[in-house]
Amino acid sequence: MYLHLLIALIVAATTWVVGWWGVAVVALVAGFIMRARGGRAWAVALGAIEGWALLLIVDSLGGRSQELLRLLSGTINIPGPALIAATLLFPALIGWSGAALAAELGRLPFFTHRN
Amino acid sequence: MGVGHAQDGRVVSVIPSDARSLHFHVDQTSRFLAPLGMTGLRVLRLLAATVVFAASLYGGAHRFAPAPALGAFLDPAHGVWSLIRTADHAAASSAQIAHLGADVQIVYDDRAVPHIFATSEEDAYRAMGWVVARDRLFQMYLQTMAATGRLTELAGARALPLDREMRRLGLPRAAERALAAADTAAFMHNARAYAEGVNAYVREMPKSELPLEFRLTGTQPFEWTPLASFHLFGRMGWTLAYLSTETERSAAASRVGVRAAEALFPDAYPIQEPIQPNGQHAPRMDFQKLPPPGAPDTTSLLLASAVDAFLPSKLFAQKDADVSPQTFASNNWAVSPSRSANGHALLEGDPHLELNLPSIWYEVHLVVPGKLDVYGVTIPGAPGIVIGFNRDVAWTFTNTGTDVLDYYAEVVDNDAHPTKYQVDGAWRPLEQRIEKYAGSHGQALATDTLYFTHRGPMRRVRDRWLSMRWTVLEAGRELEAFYGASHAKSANELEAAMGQSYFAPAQNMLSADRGGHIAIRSTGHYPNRPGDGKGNVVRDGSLSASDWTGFLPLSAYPQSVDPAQGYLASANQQPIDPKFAQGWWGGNYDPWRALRINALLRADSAMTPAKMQAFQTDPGSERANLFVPYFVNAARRHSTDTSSKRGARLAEAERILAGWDRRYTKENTAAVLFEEAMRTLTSAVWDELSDDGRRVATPSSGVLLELLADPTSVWWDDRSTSAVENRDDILANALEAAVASVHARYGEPGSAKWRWSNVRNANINHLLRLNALSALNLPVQGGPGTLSPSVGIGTHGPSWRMVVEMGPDVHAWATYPGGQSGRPLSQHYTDRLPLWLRGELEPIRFPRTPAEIDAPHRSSVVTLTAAH
Repeated sequence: MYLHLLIALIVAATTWVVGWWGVAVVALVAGFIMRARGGRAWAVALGAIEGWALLLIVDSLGGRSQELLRLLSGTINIPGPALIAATLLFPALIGWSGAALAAELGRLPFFTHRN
Repeated sequence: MGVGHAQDGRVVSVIPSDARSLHFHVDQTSRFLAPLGMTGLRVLRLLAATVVFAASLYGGAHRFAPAPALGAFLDPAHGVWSLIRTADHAAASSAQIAHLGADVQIVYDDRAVPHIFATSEEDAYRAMGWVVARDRLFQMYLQTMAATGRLTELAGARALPLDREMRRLGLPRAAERALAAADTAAFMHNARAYAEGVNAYVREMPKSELPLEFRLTGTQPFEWTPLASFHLFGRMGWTLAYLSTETERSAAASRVGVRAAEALFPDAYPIQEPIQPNGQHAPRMDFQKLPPPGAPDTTSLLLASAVDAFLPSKLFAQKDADVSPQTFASNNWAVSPSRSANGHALLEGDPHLELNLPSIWYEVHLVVPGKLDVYGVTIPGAPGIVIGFNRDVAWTFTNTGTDVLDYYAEVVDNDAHPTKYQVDGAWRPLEQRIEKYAGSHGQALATDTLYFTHRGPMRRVRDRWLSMRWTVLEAGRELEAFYGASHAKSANELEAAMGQSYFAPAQNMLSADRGGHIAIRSTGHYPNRPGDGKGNVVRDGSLSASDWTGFLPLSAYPQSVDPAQGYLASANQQPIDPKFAQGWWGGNYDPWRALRINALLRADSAMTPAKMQAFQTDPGSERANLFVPYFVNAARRHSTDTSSKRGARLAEAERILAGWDRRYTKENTAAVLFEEAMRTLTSAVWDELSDDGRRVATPSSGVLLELLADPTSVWWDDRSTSAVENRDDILANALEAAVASVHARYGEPGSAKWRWSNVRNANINHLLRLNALSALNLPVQGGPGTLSPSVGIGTHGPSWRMVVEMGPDVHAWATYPGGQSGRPLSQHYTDRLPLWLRGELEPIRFPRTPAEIDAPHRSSVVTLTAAH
């Protein structure tokens, strides 16, 4: 039930340490571990969203989120809310696909025989 | 689409016909993967996951220009969002720099100015590189890319013309040669230390501090080298050491003949208020009657075309001058103790350059006890204080504008593919240089083969091979000059240091010292030419006798020390009165600012820093003072019949202009009419210089004033009418048209729309011209020809304003449009703008020790230690 929250914390910590591709690593590992349950890909995706949302909240403690959104949307011509949505959708895609991929591959005979 | 699957894994549900292909593939894949125990749904899931995962990773890591790579960009820990956390410096921090001799303390004051306290000069410059990189990293790199002709690597093929101009001029080559010539000089230790400081910051910089612009352009900072600093000086020369007069004169000669062109673009400006005092107590009007237009001289086109070939962007700016005149100008003045209220020498400086965010300038203070204590502004990337002061002397510059660029017609061995050129009958090998231009992904965009003679770059112009010699391309030692200025103990020492090492662009270097001396010298290197000494013709390159024979001695430069008049002032006017000088010393700028500042300084023998601050944005206009009466008188003579439309308009114009105090305040509602009348008048008068409706050259407004003194000159006649017009006819016509035009655009006279602040604004663009990061439509006081000029689209103006009082303790005030930080989210990105707009300055802190900046006035402290 709280799996996504656990994933969120792991995603946030991994992103903080190694960068954005940490999400892919977490998704692959989580998907593989939970391969018997289809990788819980949607939970991983949700966790990835929550993890990055948590980091965005940390960023916003600097107090200039609105200003940054204004600058960014003015610079790259994308509305601020769309930019936030893209920021949350991006780890979700990696999370879901990474977990699903790892789960499917993890269920191949090679891995199941080893288990 | 309904999808099910049977026990054997085959897809059994009905799939719409448009998806049959997918059905087929899944089915086939399913059959293939069946031995692995995969069902159709799982195969679909595997395929979808693989595609999405691969696409996400690819999109995350790969840049689809102009969009950045999504992963690094969106990453909330290190990507663009993290800029919120790193916008401003932490209150206290530390960092390590390799090669540091001892710890360095950096105290940022409440204006975000870093005061660097080091125990050796090399450490001070190392720290300087570090702090400048920390605040202005992208600016440093962009300027270097521009100076080296590598903008295509950021912007792609659209930047190719600009890059080609830089490289074809040989600016990168010149920087390499200047570095090679200076490699063993003592000041190079500081340049290397500076580069180490920059690189130390870049290496240790957390990912979250990477400036926004690098993220948007998908680029990374490269290794900084002393060569990059030399490139910046080359770029400065390209900006300032080009003179349009000879080009315009040639273009004019191609329309109205040489004699008329020489009168329209004279060597001796018709209004004389020179930088080197000439004993006058008022400006001198040396007005002559302009000779009538003559037969076109087509041979003059070669010189005009040379500029098109070598400096196309300059020509473009010149042609565009009606729309957006650029003001690379400046003011400076100094007052002797005898004319200052408190008996100390005073100095003012405000260079007028392109206004950018971040600003061209960065303010910094270097302290090495017993050796160095210098404060001022540097150009990010240049290891030295360019304008500023130490405990003994203050200095600042204005541009001189002397002709230091010549062209030579060369004889080559092969017109299509030259390998040699001829001098005095002997063949000399041409130096060839291959220049490759790369795109943003490193792809090859273009390749050029460049040719160089001993004079400089050679290009094909109108079926001739022309080479160019330009002081900007010589091996200058500007860094050494600034190093010398930082250590000078007096105005004399400063002028000597500059005179010895400074090459280009030539500047009117003004100084004031604690001993009460003031001095100015038009410093740079000026070619000693054979013959008449002028550089306004294409010379015969096949003769060595055409070459420069050296450079003029310092004693020949326009200069003055402690003049009897008690003050010195330069505003880019002709530096020396032609009556007292041999040769031509430049000054193609209009003299209106010079007239104004001289008038203000003459009128006050108890000068104070506060008054000098007020002068910086003085709205008074000598240009308006001289031109408006002509318009008013012409309107009066032509508005006798107020029942006619023309008469009513002219009466209205007369009322508005006669009632104007001729001050370009933000609130005034008459300047808009005067400026429109001036624009219309200029077009109407110089119709002889038009070619297919476009003016090939525009004489200065000083020459226009000269013409106004001759009411029946043939130049007043409008060739498009059968009547023969005189001065007042044309003035009245211009005024009538201006009234109609301003009415149409701004409505009834006196309305808010006529306010100057509605018409003319300052526009401070971000370096990448991104509006969201720019400060646009800023109302300012001042107009064309005022001390704080505002012209065209407002992209140029006072880039730094400084006043220094050289008493027993040095007191200084300054500001610039922008802020110390190059990070748009920082509170110091534009924090100085309101002050600049109001024409106010801030007092500068000039501490001897860190303790002299008490806690309330500190914004951040950094300790640099040696990396082991």
